[in-house]
Amino acid sequence: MTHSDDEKTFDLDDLFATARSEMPQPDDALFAAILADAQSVLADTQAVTSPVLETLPWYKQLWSDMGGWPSFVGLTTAGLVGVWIGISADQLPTQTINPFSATAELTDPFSGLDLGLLEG
Amino acid sequence: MSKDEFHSLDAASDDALLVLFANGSPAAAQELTRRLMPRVFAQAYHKLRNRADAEDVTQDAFMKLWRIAPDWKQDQAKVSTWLYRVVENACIDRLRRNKTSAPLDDVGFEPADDRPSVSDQMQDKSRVDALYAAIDTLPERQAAALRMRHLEDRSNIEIAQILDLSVEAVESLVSRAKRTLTAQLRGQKTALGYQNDTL
Repeated sequence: MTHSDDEKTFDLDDLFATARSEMPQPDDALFAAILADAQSVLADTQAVTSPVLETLPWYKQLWSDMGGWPSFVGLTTAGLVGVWIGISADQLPTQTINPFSATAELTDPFSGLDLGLLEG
Repeated sequence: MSKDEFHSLDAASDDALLVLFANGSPAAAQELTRRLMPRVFAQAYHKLRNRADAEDVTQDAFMKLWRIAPDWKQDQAKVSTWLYRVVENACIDRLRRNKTSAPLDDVGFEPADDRPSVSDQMQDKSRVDALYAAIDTLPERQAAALRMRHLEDRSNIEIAQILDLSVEAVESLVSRAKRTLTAQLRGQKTALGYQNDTL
């Protein structure tokens, strides 16, 4: 808006221009503060998403490579079942089937039924 | 940052920059701030009329933007639209809190050396105060559209996106707002130092 005297003509667009020109501009300190916030958020995010890699001692690494607890439990169960079978072997039936001595016997399931009766 | 990287950031969309920032690029944050901060500050200042408050709101809005960056969905909204709403809500909250204080006391006029006189500056101040007061009486959408168009210098297309309206509807809102303002300020033209009325 130009300043001549009190006989200034009313113009809305001039008034908008004056309002715009009177607005202070954001300074470098604000720019720097916003970027510092961005850096701190980035640092926090990276700290959460990138945990420090843990180096395991050799025996823990070996334990892990062997399968850990699931492997141990499975192996132990299989061992105990083997021991139980060994101990209880005496009680198992000893009669075995010899396929070479087996004889086939023909039996008539209808031995009491004479075919003659059917003939009437 | 290499020259090529700088040029690629310069050409990237706001959304792409935000994703780059979420992936760990401080340069993307710098470009996004350089691009969006002036308008965010202008929006807050024209609403609050207080530099310190406008700076606080601007910084808070960007902080929210940085925090939401990892979860940003590119199809949900434009960054500028999202920021506009965040700033608008923050300003409303702040105005409610500051209702008892005088918001215009801190309007800082920083006159350049070529300004003619203190009386002219005072007259400009009273005219601008009257303009802001008249804008505050407009319906919310008219006031928002008018502020964006004539104080923040946004395009009608951008305003339409922010207000979720057609460009024609924005033009209509701004036009009605200007008519209302003209009628209001015309009534005060003598008090504001205007003699002739060309409108």
